Amino acid sequence: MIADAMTGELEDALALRGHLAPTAFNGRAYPESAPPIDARGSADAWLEAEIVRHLDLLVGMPVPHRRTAAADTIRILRGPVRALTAWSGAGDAGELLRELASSLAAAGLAAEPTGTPPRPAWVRFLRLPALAPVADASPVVRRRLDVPAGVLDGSDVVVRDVAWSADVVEVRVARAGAMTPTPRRWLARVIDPVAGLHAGQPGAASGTDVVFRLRPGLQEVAPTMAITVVAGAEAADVEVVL
Amino acid sequence: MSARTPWWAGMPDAAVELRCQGERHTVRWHAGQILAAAHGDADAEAALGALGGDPPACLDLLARWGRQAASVELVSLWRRPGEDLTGFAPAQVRPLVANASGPGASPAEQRRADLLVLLALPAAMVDRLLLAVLAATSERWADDAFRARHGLRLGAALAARAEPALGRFACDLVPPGHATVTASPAPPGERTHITARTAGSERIRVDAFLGLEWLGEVWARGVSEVEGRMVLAVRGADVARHALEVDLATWREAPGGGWACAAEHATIERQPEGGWRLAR
Repeated sequence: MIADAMTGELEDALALRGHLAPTAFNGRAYPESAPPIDARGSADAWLEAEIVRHLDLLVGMPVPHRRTAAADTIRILRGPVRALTAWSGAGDAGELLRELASSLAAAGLAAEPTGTPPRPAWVRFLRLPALAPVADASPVVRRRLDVPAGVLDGSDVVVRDVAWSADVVEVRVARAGAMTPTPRRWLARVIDPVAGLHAGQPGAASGTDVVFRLRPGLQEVAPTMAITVVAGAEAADVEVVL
Repeated sequence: MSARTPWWAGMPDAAVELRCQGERHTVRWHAGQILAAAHGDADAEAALGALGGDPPACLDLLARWGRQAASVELVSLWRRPGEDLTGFAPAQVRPLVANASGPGASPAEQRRADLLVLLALPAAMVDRLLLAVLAATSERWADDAFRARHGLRLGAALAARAEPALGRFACDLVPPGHATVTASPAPPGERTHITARTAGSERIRVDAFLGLEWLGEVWARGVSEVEGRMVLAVRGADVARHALEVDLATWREAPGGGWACAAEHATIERQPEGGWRLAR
């Protein structure tokens, strides 16, 4: 609930700065509840999912606009990071943000590298040319998996299959016993050893299945994929062999 | 804000022109109030409007302002330090609020429409709205439930806005880059308290507890630093002279070791070309 509210506010900040359409503006009031997220590890899961969402927005922009947008990304994320660091009392939620800043610098999108090393998968993703939306792309290769990935929102999560083409990677996830027709803000990302990071916006839901459509696509089959699905501040991970 | 100085004292007016009832009207922010000068009896017109029909655009804006003048979320949404943000374009917003402002709208739809309209105002007007929000948050800071709900957000906002000035203030003691600075809101009823102590060779640690009112009183006025001096508080305003009575931060050696921040009274004056200077 709180993690959703924080995500909604980040969307509002992005819309106000022109990085999302004004229709994405939520304008919701912050819920009346005390802790932002219920555990420190969850805070990192939420923040990393948000960072990947921002990376996806960045590579959707024309290359000349990315530098300005990258500065906005750091500015926008700094607020919740400061709040999470203050809330945790110890530890430093800023480490992921410094990793992002270093990755942006390594990709030529920011002038201020930090002492933290960049994350190679993020740098590689940020160096992609402007990616078209995946709405019209269709995967051509599909692998059935049916592997459990953990529990999200009280439901067992199973990765049903992955599919890909040169334009898109599709991940279909099933929620066992899920009652809600549409999951709250679920995000997914895939890392494979060939192309690196694949990221995207929340996908369509149908019945108990959720389909995530991620960019970039795959030019060749990857031997393994690390799949992460995040709902609010909960994360489910699984590594699959293809 | 100190008891004798209203939070809006010394802030220049701001205005927006609207198309209202077939004419060009001006809605003005003046001395902490938002005013629709073309509508002599705004309350009566609003009451009539409530009986049916679209309210005049000026009064619609006043109503939206009134509903959101304590929306703490605006502290995070609006400009960050160093950011030149202009907000939404009115033409972008118009179709999004067309069906979300009537009596049938849910509170969430109404709030979203309010914020879209307000964030499409000229930046100077949104700055004044934020000032009102900051004044409201300072007044509510003593409320435990309010702090539980918004303390992290406001703490983060204060830290983001105060730490750069505190870092430069620390340069009175050590070279740039040799201070670790943390800023937090002072607990309710406690005064601003800033200390520094050595932290390893050639480094110091600065811990600052600033009254939350610093955000509205000092930062939002654009007087966090004047001629390289950090401003801790505004104590009075001379509107005619465009001058503010302020407390400047200065270091004193602390009896038990380290340093403590003390306040030094000064007058600052707004310059015709913008910016502030210490009065000579």
